Amino acid sequence: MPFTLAEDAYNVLKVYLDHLRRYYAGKDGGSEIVDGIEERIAELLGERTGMGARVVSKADVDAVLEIMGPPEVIEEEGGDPSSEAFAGSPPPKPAKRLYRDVDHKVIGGVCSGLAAYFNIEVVLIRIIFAVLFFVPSGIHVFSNINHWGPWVFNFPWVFFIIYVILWIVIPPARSVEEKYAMRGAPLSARGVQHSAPAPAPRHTYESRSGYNNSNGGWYVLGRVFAVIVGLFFLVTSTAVLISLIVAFTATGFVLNIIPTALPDLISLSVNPVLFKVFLILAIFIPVIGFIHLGSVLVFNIKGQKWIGPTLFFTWLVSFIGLLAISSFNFGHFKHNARHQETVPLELTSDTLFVDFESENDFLFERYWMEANNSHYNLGWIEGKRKDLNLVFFPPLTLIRQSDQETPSILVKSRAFSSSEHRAELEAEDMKPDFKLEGNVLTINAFEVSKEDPWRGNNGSLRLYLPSDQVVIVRKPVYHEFGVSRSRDVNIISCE
Amino acid sequence: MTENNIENIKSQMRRGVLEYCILSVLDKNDAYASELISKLKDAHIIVVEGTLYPLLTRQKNQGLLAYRWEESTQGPPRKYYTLTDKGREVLQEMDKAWKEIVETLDILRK
Repeated sequence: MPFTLAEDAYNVLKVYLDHLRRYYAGKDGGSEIVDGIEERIAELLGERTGMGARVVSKADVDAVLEIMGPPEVIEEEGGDPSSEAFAGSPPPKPAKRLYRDVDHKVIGGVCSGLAAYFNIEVVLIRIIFAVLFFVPSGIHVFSNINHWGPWVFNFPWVFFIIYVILWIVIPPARSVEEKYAMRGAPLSARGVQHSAPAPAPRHTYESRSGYNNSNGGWYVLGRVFAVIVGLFFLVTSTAVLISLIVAFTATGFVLNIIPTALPDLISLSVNPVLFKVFLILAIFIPVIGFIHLGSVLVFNIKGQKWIGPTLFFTWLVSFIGLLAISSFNFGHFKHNARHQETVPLELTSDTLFVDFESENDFLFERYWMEANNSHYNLGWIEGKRKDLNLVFFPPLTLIRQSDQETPSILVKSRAFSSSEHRAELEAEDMKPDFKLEGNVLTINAFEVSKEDPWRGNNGSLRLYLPSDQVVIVRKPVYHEFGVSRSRDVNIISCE
Repeated sequence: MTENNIENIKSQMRRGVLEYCILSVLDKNDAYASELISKLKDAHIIVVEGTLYPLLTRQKNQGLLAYRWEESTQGPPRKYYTLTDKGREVLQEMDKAWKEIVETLDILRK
């Protein structure tokens, strides 16, 4: 008589019959007894469910087993009155064996299995293992490779490996008998009823239940592989996460000092806050996703179903947002125009002094400078952490020409805008500002407008001077062009 | 005397006569397990059904019972239990013993 049983009902029934079968195994007429009981159970279940018209619930099985009586009572009653069993002695204790308690596992069930075997609190064993994981093994592999070596490679792999070996060699407690042998407790159908696994798919009960043994070896291999991959994900993505956090916070200033770096780009954006949020989400979410994936693999927990899609959706929104903001900003760079003019210089002396002037005071702590025989470029950062401003000057290039040619200065500028006309206007507007008074060339800093930051500071100055003309930058940082003692200077100062 | 002990004695007494009861029921009519169970339950001699099966098997092994398969109008074929000659002899012995016990109690109670 075929029945369909709910998973929990099936488990309870299986435990019950397994118990009886185990007890009567090898006994004279034993299988007959169990078959009789099994037939009666089927009959009673049939009565309760209208001859199998509906799925047998755990309540049905419980009620029927109540009628049949607990296995211990059946075994006792049926015992030979002359034997000791008649006096009600408990069934012999099964030998205790070491199994992995896969029902209560965190990683592989090694700790819970040990706890069951030694009858200790599993938390204690877990704490011990967790501590042991971090005990240095004393083995320095490749520790000379870099200065991180001793820490990285003296990692506590020894106990990790011990754990994995235990995981492989200790069999999992899968069948009901094994689960009881793991605790060394006598098999009791009532006891197991409470720890029966959560209901899931249904089994078909054909009046005689088969044994269902899952494929232990492959499962372990798969788990080992999953843990290795998961650990790799966890370790690398955690490292990436930490470095990202460091990069986004601690070195914010360093990023600011280089004009082409991130915050500068952000300053171009229409909505810097939104841009930053999107940027951070777009970068961090994949990392967090990998950490989540890693922990799912390592701890074999069922990942919450909503996590993956939520992460992906948020990431997608941020990514699209980033694209949108960027393309909006790129609109300002659609057209570019160049402006160029040559202004003749009337030199009154064989020495030309150059002063870079700004209404802001020069900051020695936060400036960058490149200078050599033909080039001088300098700038610094103005303002407080939250409200930084770049003070820029047009880069100055010195080109030597023959004495016959007229000394001159070439003023170049370039601007971007959404229309060609505006770009031309802006390019002219952006041209570097300088004046020559006597033998002093004063070059003014670019004005960076906060409203129109994308107008850019694409201007430069080129000096065309005869070869014997001495050119000295007086301020803010002294530099002499084209003399033997001048050297290449490359400075980035930081407070 | 604790309640546990009383229960223990009661169940032992019941257990002692259960086999006798099975033979008595089968003496009148052959019966299949469910039928036997309902009769024994009606007579309050068994509480849980599972205990009957080991007893039936033991009695069969002792040669007191035999069974035959009979087609049923509903469900699978049924196992009909029947008394063997030896079973009838034993039942007569038990009847005698039971009478003696009842007489003993009667005497003691006077």
